[in-house]
Amino acid sequence: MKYSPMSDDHTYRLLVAKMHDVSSLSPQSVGPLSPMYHSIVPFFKHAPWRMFAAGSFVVTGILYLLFGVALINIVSVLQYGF
Amino acid sequence: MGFDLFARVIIGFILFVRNIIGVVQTPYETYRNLSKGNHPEQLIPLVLIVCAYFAWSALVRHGIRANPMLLTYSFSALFMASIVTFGLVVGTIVVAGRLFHGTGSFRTVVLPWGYSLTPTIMWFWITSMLWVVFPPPRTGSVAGQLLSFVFIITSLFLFFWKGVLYYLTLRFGMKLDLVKILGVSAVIFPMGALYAIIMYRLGIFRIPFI
Repeated sequence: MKYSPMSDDHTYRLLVAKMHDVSSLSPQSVGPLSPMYHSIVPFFKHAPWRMFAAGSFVVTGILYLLFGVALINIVSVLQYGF
Repeated sequence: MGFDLFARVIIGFILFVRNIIGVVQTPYETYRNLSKGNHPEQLIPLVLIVCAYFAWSALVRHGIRANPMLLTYSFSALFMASIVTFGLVVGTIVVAGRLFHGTGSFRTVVLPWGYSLTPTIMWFWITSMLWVVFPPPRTGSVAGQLLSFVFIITSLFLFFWKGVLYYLTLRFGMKLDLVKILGVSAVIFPMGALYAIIMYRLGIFRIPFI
């Protein structure tokens, strides 16, 4: 059986390229908030639209509690904004 | 030569579709690839969608029976302003990013920022179509309130999406960390607000196409 060097292996080269990509940026650090940051970010890495949908529902609810029906006026203004 | 150009355009369209799905499903991974700046021709479909929107917007604003000269002027003004805005925003991101020791360039920022126009163009399309189907002002009726909530939820959804894509543009395009991104934002946002006011006063954009 003939063996070829590892550097010729397609999977190996893909793996090296991927590792190079991932290591091109140093891990994010925000001081004491780093653990919290690293626990939140995974939710935005895959299908973040779930977070956007949940967030927009919650914020709309808060806006409704704050402004009540006056929220409708904001919508009317925004509708003229295109 | 002609075939090469055609092939590049086709590749651009395929990459555009693939990356649009990526921007929705896996934005981090997609933006990491986009920041390499390869295949700028993939922005062609986005430019076409923006062109189509401005043509539609001119029709909706002035009506289908408006003078063709007025429609052409309106379309041209919107399109030119959006091109200038795009260039200014990319330039500002690069300059402000370098002030904070970012290592990116125009090439590494242009594709990420281009794709960040996806939620923008979606919001403008949705709002203009809604304007045709349900013209403002909204009323306090149940239907009016319901529509208002749906509109606010949709707008916030697209706003959050835009925010994440803005963050990723600076993170991967300029290779900045969160603290520096906040610093760059403190420089860019006031300038953006001033620019939005100028555009509003000139009667070009009521809400800036950013």
